[in-house]
Amino acid sequence: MELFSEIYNCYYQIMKSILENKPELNLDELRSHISENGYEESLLYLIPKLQSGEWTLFEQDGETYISKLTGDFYVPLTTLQKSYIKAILQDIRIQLFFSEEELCELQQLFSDIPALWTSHDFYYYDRYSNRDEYENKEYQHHFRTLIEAIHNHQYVDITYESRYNHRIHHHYLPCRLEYSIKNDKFRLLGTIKGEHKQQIEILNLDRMKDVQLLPAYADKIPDIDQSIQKSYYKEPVHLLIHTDRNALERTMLQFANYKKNTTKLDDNTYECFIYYNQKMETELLIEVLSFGPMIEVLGNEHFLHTLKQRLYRQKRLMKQHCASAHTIEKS
Amino acid sequence: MSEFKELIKSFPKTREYVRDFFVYGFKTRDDFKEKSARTYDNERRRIESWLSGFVRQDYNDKGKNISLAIDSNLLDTNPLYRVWKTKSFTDNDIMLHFFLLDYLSDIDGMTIEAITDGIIDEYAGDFDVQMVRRKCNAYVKEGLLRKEKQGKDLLYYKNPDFKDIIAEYNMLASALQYYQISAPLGIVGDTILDNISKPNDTFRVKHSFFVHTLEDEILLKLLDSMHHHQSIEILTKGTKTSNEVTMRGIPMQIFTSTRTGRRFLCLYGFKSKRFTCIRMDSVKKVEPLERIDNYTALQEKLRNCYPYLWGVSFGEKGQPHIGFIKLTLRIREDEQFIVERLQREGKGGVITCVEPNIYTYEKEVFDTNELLPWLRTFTGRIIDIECSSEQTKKLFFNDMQAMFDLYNI
Repeated sequence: MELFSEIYNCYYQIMKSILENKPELNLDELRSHISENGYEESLLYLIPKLQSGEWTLFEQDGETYISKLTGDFYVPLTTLQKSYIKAILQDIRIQLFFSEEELCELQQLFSDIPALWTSHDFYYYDRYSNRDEYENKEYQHHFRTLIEAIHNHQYVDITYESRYNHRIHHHYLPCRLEYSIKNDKFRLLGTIKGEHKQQIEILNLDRMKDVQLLPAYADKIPDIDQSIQKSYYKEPVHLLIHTDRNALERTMLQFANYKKNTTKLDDNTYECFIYYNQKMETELLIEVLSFGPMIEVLGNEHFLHTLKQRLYRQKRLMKQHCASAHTIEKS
Repeated sequence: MSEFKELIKSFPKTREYVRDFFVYGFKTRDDFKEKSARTYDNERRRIESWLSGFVRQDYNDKGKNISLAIDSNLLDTNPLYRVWKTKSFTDNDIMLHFFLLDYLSDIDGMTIEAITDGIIDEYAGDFDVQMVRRKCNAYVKEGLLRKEKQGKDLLYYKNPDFKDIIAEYNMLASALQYYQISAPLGIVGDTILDNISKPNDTFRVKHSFFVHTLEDEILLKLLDSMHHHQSIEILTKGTKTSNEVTMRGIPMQIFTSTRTGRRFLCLYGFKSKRFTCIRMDSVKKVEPLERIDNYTALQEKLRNCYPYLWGVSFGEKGQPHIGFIKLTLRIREDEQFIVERLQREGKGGVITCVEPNIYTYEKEVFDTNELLPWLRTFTGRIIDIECSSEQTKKLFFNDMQAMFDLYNI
């Protein structure tokens, strides 16, 4: 079971999609298909192979390339792929997608294949303990309804209980379901019907009390990427990273999730800009604090102010209460 | 000078380059001192080609600086999966792939000789029996074909289409879209989505560390050994130094952090006779050895360690095994979310409200030092820390003082 195999190669995939979907096409169409689906320089390699006839996958009739394959070409699953499906069929979250009966049938279909991984193979040692209740039938129903709505661009009526136990009721257009690996929770990213600003609302699935499909459809899903990018503060967090205690490697890995830009100032210091929005702010602040003096915040002003406030409060508390700190200072 | 190619023969060398660009995202040609300038240029050009759209170029006084600007909040899949789809192949490989799988679609079992003749008749081309046999056997090994003996003949069959299953269980495509971006070995799920042409348009993921996929080949070997209760020999190369070390032991579990982006192999070392965690990105080679009889007993032993594991440290060898830490916090009535944080992040530590607005959190762990980053996240609320390790306590307060100095507090 090879993972790094030509069977999964990008060029194979490009050829497959052309041969499957376009039995006849001209050179411009070939070029455009390769550019859309290949790597940046794939065109330079693939077009000569097809033009010269080194790859005899097409018959050439003047300017037209005609696929030599029959119409219903398919590539079966490899053992590695089947083994992967077997693995996900054993995961706790799979019950969000299927009824018990469907799941039994599917597990039967893959019964003679060993699972590629099991949940026991992994230990997520710092994952939060209050995961969503994936076994809850109502939660499962909400989850499937939201997937259906996303696929059909359909509005839904959601009754939601906020963090402060307020009931909120709106019509939403669901755009994406967001899963947090750290929280082991799902959230809905969607927009409120009728709002012109198309601001992305985020709703925790475990706080949804009712989700109903509405007989109303949108032409298309709003561009949530644009909305998320627009929500980022103009001024990123500006950090200096000192390399002691392997901090550079640790910070770069931990902040790999964020849009960031890092440059080396000298052998011991690096400068890093991290882009974020209001909703990410507390989490980012906590992450920065966890590095202690290995990271120095230079800006933006608001972030720096919040950080300093916490430090002022900490110093006051230590002066008032902290016997241990005094002992250490004296020693 | 040889012609530049986008595709590569072997993965390990490239893995290091991609990792450096992805994680650090600021290395210039001068930073790659171990490799020649031409090697750097070729690797850089390949990465730029594979990951176009995510590559950012800046110029500074040291030269061109390329980095990967990847905002995981905006992605339907892991862009680093593209790196796995770059294995080089020959002209015959790709032609036989399509001709063989197409030809066998309508045929119910055939000998190699008949397949070879059929392909030449149907599609034209210069293929011999040996070539077709090699490909067929390779595809039997990969699971695309199966072979059965009938009388004296060995017949080859194409395995059934997955699209029929997808058509019957339409949520399976959605499940694959979710798992490919959120669970281990997502690259495999991604290749299935390639097969059925159903890219993810439903899910997003938070707190996913895309760089882990670069270790997936190593992970596959480790999982295989774990499932077969086999011991292994591993070769590791330090991330800071280039020292190579060989170790033997029993692979137990993959320890994964959802916060720091680190992933470890938990190994029961033969020499040390204890559990130890090794950074996955430092593992360069895995060789399976013999089957272990007491694997289940070791799993039980490891499970018994969980209550005292904060991260990946089982404590120093020879040190007293279990330390304790007690954190006293001031939490206002309107800050119950902090108590909730202690509950969900505190790994079963005991939380007590000792007086109005004053809470204690107590936990026994193998290595109190591992709590330090988490403790710092409560900055602004910490009244006191008691700890079995004077060194941990000292480090915490010294760091806090350094923070006060840094910001003139």
